[in-house]
Amino acid sequence: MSRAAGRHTRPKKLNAKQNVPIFREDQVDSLVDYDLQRAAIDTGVEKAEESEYHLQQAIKAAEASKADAKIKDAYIPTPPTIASDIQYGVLYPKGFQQPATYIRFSATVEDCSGVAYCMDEEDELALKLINGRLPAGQVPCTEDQFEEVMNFFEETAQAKQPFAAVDSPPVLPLEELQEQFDDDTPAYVRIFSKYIYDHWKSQRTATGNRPLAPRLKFETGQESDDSDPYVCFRRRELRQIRKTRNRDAQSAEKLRKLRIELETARGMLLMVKRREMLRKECLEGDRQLFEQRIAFRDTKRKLGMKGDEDLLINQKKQRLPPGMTLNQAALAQQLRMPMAPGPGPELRTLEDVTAAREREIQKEIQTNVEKHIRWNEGFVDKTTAPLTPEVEDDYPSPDGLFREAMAATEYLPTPPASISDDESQQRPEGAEVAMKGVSRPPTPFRYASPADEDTVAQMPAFRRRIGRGGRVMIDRKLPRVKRDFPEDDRFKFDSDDDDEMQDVDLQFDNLTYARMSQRAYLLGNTRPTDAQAMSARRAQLETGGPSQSPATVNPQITPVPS
Amino acid sequence: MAGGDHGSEANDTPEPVIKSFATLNQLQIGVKAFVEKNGETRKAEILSIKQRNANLTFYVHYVEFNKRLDEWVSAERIDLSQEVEWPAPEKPEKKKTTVTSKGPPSKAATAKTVTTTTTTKAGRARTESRPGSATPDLLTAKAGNDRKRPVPSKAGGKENSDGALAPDGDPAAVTTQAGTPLPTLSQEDSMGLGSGAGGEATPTATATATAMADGATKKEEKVAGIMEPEEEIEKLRTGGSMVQNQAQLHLVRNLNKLQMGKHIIEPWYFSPYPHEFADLDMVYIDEFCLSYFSSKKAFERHRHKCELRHPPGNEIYRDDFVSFFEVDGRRQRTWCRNLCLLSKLFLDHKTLYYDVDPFLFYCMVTRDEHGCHLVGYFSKEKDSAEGYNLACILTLPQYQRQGLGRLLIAFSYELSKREGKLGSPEKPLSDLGLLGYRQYWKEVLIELLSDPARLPPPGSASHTPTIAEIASLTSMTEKDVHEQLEVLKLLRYHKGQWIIVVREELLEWQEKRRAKEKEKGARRIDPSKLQWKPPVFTASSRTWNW
Repeated sequence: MSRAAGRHTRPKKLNAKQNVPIFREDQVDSLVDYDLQRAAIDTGVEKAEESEYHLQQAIKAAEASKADAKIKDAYIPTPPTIASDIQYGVLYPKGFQQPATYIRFSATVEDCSGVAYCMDEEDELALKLINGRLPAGQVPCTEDQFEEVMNFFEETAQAKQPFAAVDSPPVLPLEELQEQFDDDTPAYVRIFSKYIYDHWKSQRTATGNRPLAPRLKFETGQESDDSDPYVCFRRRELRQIRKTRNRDAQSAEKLRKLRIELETARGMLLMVKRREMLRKECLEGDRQLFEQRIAFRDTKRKLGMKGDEDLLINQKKQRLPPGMTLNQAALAQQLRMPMAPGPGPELRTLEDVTAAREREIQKEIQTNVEKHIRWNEGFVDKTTAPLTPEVEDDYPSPDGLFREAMAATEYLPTPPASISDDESQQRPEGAEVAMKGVSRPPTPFRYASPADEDTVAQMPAFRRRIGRGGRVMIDRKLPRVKRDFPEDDRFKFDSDDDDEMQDVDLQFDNLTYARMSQRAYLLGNTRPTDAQAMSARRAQLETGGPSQSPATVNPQITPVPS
Repeated sequence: MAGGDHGSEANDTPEPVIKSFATLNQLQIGVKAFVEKNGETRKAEILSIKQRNANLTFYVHYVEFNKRLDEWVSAERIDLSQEVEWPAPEKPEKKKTTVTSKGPPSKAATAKTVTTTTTTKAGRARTESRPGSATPDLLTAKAGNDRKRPVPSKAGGKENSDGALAPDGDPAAVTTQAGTPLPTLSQEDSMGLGSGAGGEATPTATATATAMADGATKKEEKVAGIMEPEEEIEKLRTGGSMVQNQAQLHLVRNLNKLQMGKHIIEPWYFSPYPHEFADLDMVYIDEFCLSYFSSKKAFERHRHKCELRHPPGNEIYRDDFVSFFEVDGRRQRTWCRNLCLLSKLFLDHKTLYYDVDPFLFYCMVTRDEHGCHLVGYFSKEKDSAEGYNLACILTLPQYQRQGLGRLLIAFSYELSKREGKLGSPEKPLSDLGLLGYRQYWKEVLIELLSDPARLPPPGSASHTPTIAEIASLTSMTEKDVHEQLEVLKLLRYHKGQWIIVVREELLEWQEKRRAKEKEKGARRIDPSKLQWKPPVFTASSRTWNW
């Protein structure tokens, strides 16, 4: 019986996923209150404080039913807050403008609070004394300036004696502090530092050479830290740092590079700043000069003086290249401008003479070239290796676009021959230097015969073209050896005697366009030019090949250079 | 409160309390006497004693009242017509290691002469320069042990009382426990010197260190639930609030008054502001950057220069009444440290042991043409392992009792909703925190349950919710929902089934609240005005940044 009752009254544990119907009080009859059986709810307040009187009262008040209206007003008393009589409006001036959008802000407290040092009452008194003792003519030190000087002392001391609080070294002497002045140090800090130093020193001495501003206590690494309630904001132990992976090394490298770049940029900016400062100085100087001159002029007018007019304008000074005396500079100028009427032509230097000689040579070459061209006017040199090749070839431009394949190692021992302008105009070293400035003769002009084409094996060459619609076409130009001719192959198998055939075929003419056109020229100069190719073929057929390849049995068809 | 004492009182086997009458000079730290407070007498424990011009003042903690009511009282307010309770006889403490390493030597040293005590006051020269100053007495573990000194024996008591007269003439004598590293003259030492019974102190400490034989007392410790210091520190490393162990008990409040904005505020608890601030009448706090100043002139000078007008972070919420700023503890270290120092003055269980880096601070401000005035904030871990959505929460005292705490709590749940997570505040809660949360939970739950239509489909009105559903609607954890339903007595077991019965009384309460809101204007968080995405911290930023 009692067991049954127990089972009845002990509810199942409520599962979070279980549906719990909601009822109003009047919808349920016979409410059995289980509160007595239920475990007390953990308040989350520390055990030791849970029983505090006011808390208990307040909890009771919150749970109280209407009937216990008396204890409804229970609250937890707290120490009072009263209105202050400070001049709030002065300390916190108005003028805050709320932007229309939500504020986004990342400046720190340090960024916003100006000079870190704030003078206190003692400083105020000291400043009065210091200002009283200033030498006559010295503008008194303002509070802002005083703070900046103190701040300079504090910061410098912190930088030079970072562990002052621990090993308490002597207070830095003024000289050592003054050594730390740099370009950014305002003039008044320099001036006032010597007056204020004594005050700072006495303050520092009084506190055991610690920083003057009250500071929080941070961990010092001593064992006493743990139990000292004043030590706060300890560093959390960093997590285990991974071994340096390649990625980390890369990032480190990147960072290093970035740093160097930033430092370079900073250096440049500093230089720019210096330059601008100098420029400003210069401008100020100019302005001063100008004003002085005006005064000078007025004075001169007033006194009716004449002369010294050159003092009123800037004389063009001759710029001296660095490291030259005045004399040398003058000399250099003459050298640069030999035509200018200068004193003492006997002072010509060797360089000058050689230069003049070179010019002479160039001139002569130039006239010779021109003469040559004039002679050759209307004359086309169709010899095998013309001294002046024809300027306008029919096909040279596409030819030029072909690039020879260089990959095959067997071709490399002899560099590809070419009759292009650049290489054909081989000149002695010295001449080349001299020729640089001279305009090239429009006619290719050869000093030496081109390399014999026949001795050089031709290489396959390719060119790329881009057609309409972006089509990319590769044209190839294979070396014209006999196997390229299908006729040969055809006849090869017709013949009975292979050996004989080969003997003949091996002597094969290496046809180039230039040679072909020469042949054509020799044979049929009456033919129209567009039939040149055909004529070339015929010529080859009829003559049995060019003179240079004597034993050629020519095939009927010569491939047209594409 | 007083964890240790409370623990011992709550024991199954309470220690017999030794009571007897005492003279003023016999009073020592740890003694519980009756003190007049607001016309009634309350039992209070003496935590520190100081002496100024032959007048003794006592820092007392009222038993069963919150520590924020601890105060300095003059001798007249102590009712010596009633018996006082002497501290329990020495019993072993968990802190034996620290005690063995430090307790005895300092004890021995101080026991020899008073002057040697002064030598241990490294770096606290200021105390001497300010006679009778209220040093922040740190009764750390060691002190805690020492506090439990044996009652002066009948034989020695006389001697002690005689000897205690000696320091009366010394105007600079500040009395606290020996064994603390603080530069305070120990009354006990003085007494020891006066009575010539120098050896008396030493056995006390050694007893603490060695006597661990008693199994019963060991059990007591467990019952009291005191954390091992290592555990505690490990918890501090990850959390924002702390359960106080012995080491953090009995910190005498170190600041007297605070000038901040338009208000003068009385601090409630100890906060590790710089040492120099301890004895000042007033500490000045800049309302915007929260920097602290010991001198009025320095404060004014700072105000002259400071340009900050709002918390240095991003505004993520703005309505007609308040704005919220999100401030990253790592990026705004100074400001967040300042904030923590300030809030520690009003939060007993807040930890400042570790740095602020892993926390985000959500600061609620009101705006006017002076700037954005901080009225309250809560901190939140960037990545809470235990699913807390709030670490510490505070409405500044000058803005309390205006329903702002409720707004802060509501906002913290709003963030959780945006994150799609359930959340709960970090424990332990303070007394005010508990009340605030219970109030908020009550409102939210009643509002939801009184109107089943607000429950989601598969809903309709007839849908029966589950605890999990309520949790996901409110972003409260299931545990919190369940517990609060119990607290509100809504859960009933009816015919073999759990049901929620919405009591009439609570509906009435809600009506009343709504009427009041209508009259005064409701202050609620409008989710559409929250411009916020849950911040993401990458694994690498966690590795390298905090």
